[in-house]
Amino acid sequence: MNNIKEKILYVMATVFEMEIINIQDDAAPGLVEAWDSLRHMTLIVSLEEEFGIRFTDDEMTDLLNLELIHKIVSSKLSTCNI
Amino acid sequence: MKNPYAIGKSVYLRAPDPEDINGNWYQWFSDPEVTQYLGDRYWPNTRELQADFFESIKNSRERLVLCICLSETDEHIGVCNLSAINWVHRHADIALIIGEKKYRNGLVAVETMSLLLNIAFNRLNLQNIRASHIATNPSTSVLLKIFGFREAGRLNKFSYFNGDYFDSIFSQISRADWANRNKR
Repeated sequence: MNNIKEKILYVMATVFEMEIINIQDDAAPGLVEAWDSLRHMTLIVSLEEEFGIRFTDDEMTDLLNLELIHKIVSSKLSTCNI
Repeated sequence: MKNPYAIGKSVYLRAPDPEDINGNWYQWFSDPEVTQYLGDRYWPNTRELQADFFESIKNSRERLVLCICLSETDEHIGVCNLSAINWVHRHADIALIIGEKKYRNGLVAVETMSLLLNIAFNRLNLQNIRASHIATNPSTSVLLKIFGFREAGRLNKFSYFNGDYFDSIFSQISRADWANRNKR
């Protein structure tokens, strides 16, 4: 597992108040019981703070599951590092 | 999609239709869970009152009310609006309600807010958007934060909620701040 995904899992575990080991690769609202409205938005804020990034409105609407979150965060970090 | 005005990834926004009056729309505004944080919804709503409301907004240029619908099924799941639109100062108030509870998972609220801000700034050429919420409403507080709204002020112990009084918080986002946040 890469460092970015580990950090995302850590943030998700904190926001959803669950163990990292219980977060599956297909984690998404509806599959994770704790992934409710407030926690979804808190997750966005927490990811921005953890990685020092700001999602655009368009990117925020794509943060639909763990896989997409990982893809978007990775993409933003690679852009920041150019 | 039926008469889409703004199209998102899973939802679209459209103008209300007379048929909506007979749907679930009016019932959302009687539901204590849906309306718990609204400022002016302590009276029960009825189909007749909803029809009156529809008549009051259908030709309005000071209030843009839009139905939130699922793109796949056209199901009407909520409503959003820009109200108190001031065409001189170019500002408006923003609000949204997800009436169908199974869609209150944050995803629809985020997508709707994104669409509505885009309408406000890009299509209507507004310069400032204001939002207000009661301090005990955490979801709206976080929603406004992720879209870059800044707290502009608060009224102390101004709103009654479940036996106590809480601050009313006013937030705003300018067109410049919104555009800057959405630069790639």
